Amino acid sequence: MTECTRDDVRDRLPDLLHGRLDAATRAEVTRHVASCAGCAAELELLRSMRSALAPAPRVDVRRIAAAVAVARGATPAAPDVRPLGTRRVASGSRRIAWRIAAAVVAAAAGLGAWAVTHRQPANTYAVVHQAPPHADSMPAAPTEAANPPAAPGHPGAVVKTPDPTTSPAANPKMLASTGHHGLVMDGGVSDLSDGDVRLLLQSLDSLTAIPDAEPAAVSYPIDDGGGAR
Amino acid sequence: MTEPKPTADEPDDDALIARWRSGDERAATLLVERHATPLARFVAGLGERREVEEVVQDTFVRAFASLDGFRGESALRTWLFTIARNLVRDRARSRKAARDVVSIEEWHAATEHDALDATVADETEARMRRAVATLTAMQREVFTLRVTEGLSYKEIAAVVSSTEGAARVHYHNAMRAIKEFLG
Repeated sequence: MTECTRDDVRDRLPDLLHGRLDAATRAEVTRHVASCAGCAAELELLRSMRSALAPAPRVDVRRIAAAVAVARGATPAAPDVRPLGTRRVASGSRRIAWRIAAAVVAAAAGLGAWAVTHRQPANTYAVVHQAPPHADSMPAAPTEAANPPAAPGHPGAVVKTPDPTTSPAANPKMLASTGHHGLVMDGGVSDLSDGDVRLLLQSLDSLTAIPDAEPAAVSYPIDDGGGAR
Repeated sequence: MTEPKPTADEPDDDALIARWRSGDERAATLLVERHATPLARFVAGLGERREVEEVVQDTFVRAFASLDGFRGESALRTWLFTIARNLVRDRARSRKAARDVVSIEEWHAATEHDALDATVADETEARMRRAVATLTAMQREVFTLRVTEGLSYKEIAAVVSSTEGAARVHYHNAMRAIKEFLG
């Protein structure tokens, strides 16, 4: 390719290509190109280069316009088009929601564990009473199932008083002892033996969250001082 | 080029900017439609291939966020190119800081892209693309802005933070290198 010495004209070839010359300059440059093989070849090369480099990646104009509107606080023209930048926000919200859900589940599990490991001594007594009696002097204490609760002071009322011989306070060994049908628990789960843990898991498996039927109504006589009616 | 350009019946950029400033959101959409494709081409030409749309979107968001300070001393497109170029450079710096070596995945992506170019495009066009790829980053930017986008040396100088004379030198050096490559 023969190089042209008219640098001023060569400088304007891209402008000629893009139609950015005024009429007078365009006429002058066009005239020169018509008579200069070097400039004609360079103009053709530029045209080919422009064509080769023209393909552009596709971009979603509506999405970009929506992003501009969102950034400005205005309602986007196409609300169904979510700007690229909001994807991260949405995904971040989802992550936070999952974390909250995980925290709630963990808290519920913790409360459940606390409830199991902090049962009241009354329950403990009932379980202990199911253990085989080992002494004749130890009477069978009433269980809650056999004796429905009654108002204190009523003749039929049963006021549970811890038996000193079976009280955990009097017999520390009972704090972590097991019977044939139940488990005595106090303290933490880490205090349990493998057998105790197995029993605990079996009891948990036997629990049902929702009772099969509503409990039957129970009526109690009211002592108004004049005897039962 | 297929991107829309203002015709005699269509408002120019300054008119659309004025409409947008007065609360016409549609004007912003028209400006995006007008300049998104050239921006995407420019961004891709700078080497950003995976997140072109994100860069273009970020460019517009930033531009419109500070459009109140746009004095119109340069063309809107020149200003947009400047923002996009800075964004691409920032991203490149971030990536370089994150990892100094090119990942295998990125290397494969680039290789596949080039292979696709060679297969799909005309062989002559593929050679021209390879010729541009041999240029230095500055030569490539200047050449692309001059030949593909039709910017003047003055506008190019504003985009690449250089002088008009330096832009002219870069363009002619790029042209010489391309001619040599193409033989």
